[in-house]
Amino acid sequence: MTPTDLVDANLLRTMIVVATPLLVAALGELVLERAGILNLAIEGMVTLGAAAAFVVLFAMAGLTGGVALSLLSAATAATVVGLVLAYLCVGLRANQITVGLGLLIFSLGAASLLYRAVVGVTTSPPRVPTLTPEAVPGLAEIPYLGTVLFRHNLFVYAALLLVVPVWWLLFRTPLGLRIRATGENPKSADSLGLPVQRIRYGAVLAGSALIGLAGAFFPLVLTGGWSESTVGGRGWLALMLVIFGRWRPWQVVAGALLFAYVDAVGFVFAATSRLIPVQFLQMLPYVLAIAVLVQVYQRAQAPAALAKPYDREARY
Amino acid sequence: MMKRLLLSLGVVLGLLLTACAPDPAARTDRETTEVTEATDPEATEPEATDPAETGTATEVPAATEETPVTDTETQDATPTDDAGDLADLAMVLPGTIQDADYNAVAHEALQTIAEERGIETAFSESVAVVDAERVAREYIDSGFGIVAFHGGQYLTIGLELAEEFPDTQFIVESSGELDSQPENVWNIGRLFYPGYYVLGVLAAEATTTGTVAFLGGIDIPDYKAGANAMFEGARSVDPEVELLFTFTGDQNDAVAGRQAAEALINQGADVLVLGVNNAIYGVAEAATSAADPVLVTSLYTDKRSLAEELFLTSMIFDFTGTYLEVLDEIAAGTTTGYIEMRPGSGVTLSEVYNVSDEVRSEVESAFAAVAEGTVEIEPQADEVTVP
Repeated sequence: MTPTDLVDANLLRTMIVVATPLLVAALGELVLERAGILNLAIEGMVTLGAAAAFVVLFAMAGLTGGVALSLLSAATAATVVGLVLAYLCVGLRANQITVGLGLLIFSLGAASLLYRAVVGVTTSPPRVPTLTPEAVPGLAEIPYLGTVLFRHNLFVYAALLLVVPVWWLLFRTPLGLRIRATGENPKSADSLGLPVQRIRYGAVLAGSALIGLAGAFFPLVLTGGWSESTVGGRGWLALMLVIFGRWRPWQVVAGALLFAYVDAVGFVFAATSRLIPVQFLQMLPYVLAIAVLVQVYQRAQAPAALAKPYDREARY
Repeated sequence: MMKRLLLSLGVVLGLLLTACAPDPAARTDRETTEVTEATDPEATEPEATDPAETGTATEVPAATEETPVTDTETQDATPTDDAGDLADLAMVLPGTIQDADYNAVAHEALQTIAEERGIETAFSESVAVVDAERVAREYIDSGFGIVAFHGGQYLTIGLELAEEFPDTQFIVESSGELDSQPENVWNIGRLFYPGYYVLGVLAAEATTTGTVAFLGGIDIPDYKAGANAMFEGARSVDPEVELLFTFTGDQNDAVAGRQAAEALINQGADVLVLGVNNAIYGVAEAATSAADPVLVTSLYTDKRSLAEELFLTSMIFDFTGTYLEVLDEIAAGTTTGYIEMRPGSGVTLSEVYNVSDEVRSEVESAFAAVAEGTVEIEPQADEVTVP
């Protein structure tokens, strides 16, 4: 392994592809958390989104509109779970940690059940065609940068650009201000006439849809298949990235790219060098995450009402 | 307020109950599949074309590997063969039977056992090691006379329970012969490395770049020995062939599989010999996305459907035949023994694709040599060493 391997174009290209589902899921979680709802079901919702996307595309093999319906299914499946989360946590003011963990187990089981119901038990693994990378005319031919940035499929471009509308919505629109207000001080927001419950419902549903779309990324772009381990803990990483990014969209993007880079470098090291034990390389991204989190969390500005049920009748 | 809280609690409990399937012995409404209704295999296995490629539509409640959830299905069957004194068989599985891999072939074996030996079979999916003892005890309490542990991670548990339940027959799977084992234990030794030697021969024959690689998941001794044997096989064909290897740390993480495969491909490897299970989805994606053709092999089942133009072959483990052999021994009164799965005995290669007839013939010769013992391979399981 040479220093140039660390900035290899293919390595950086892989970094972007692997960072994308983390980014989309983290942005979805960010929207929820900014409204004061902690979603511990995120890993299950990503897995369910992945399963829904896979089975729909599998069932619609060769039919036009399969990809669109697949994406819609992924978003819908996660949104349904989000609706239950919202009803329990916003409507009934249940403990968000308990509900989140319950829905996590439910979603993982539902994903597996959905797969078995559609695909069945077979010894011949099914696969769906992944989205074809689209070279951006004129830019894809640029040496180095063309490979890194301009040879991805549309989903990757859309996911990377998603940060702009999410940032704009949260920090440049009245609605974003209201969402953040319900996450910071729902009582004050309520006293100003804001419909706290409706805003939280909306944020949960919108965030859940994004989390489901992040799941669709796994079969549609990364693997072409689905198994219980497809997501492999990356939903939890997205949850961590929200803290890592201090609840700000651009920092979340930076965190996702950094994590994906360290992850990708670990695989290059493992394939080319025997100096570092493979187990250490495998834990490197998590060590980095912990190290950075310790620093970041000292200055973290979590929404003040995060994970706190809001009851307008309650005395604080 | 109280009403809402109770409703909330009820919904959460309902969700949890939906996700968690009941335990085997605690379950009174065990699902039963009458195998006798499907005496024509085509009726339930419409896609079946060879022993390694069957498709069934058995509906079983789902579970995931992440949760200590167990699912149970039993299969009653009218004997089509003399079952002798054979007791009913329960199997503990580490994953779900829909994995098209290690657990799917075990499910296939159970279906055949129920059909051909006329005994009731049951299984629990996604059983974590910490839950395996409880699940096995529940099966024993429920009257199952044979308990099989499908996976080397259950070996210690199987041996310990065998001491405690001398009247129950246990079947365990391991990496080879044990120093000692109770009188009511059959040990199935799964040897990977002899098959990997043959895959090494194939890899060296198939490469055009002169670089081949072993891609494993968890770096356990089985796969370390496999990688070393693969290297030995490759060098037996071409002493100059470049050898690479890597382990992802997970047998089923397809994204990690893809990243590891891309790293190896970027280093020039154009043949990837795999020691992973469902991680192959990501490897296949990396191979199909590569600028130049990259060939892959697989384990347990024929996975040609993932990348037809890039698939070489699969090392198939015939658990159906092996378990039937063990059960016949048990029926004959032999309650303990060791049976080895290796080339020539329960391990075969599926058809070799995407190579010339000449290469195919050489691979068949290498396989025969390993099976007959004319080529002997010493297992090197401590660490992977490029010769």
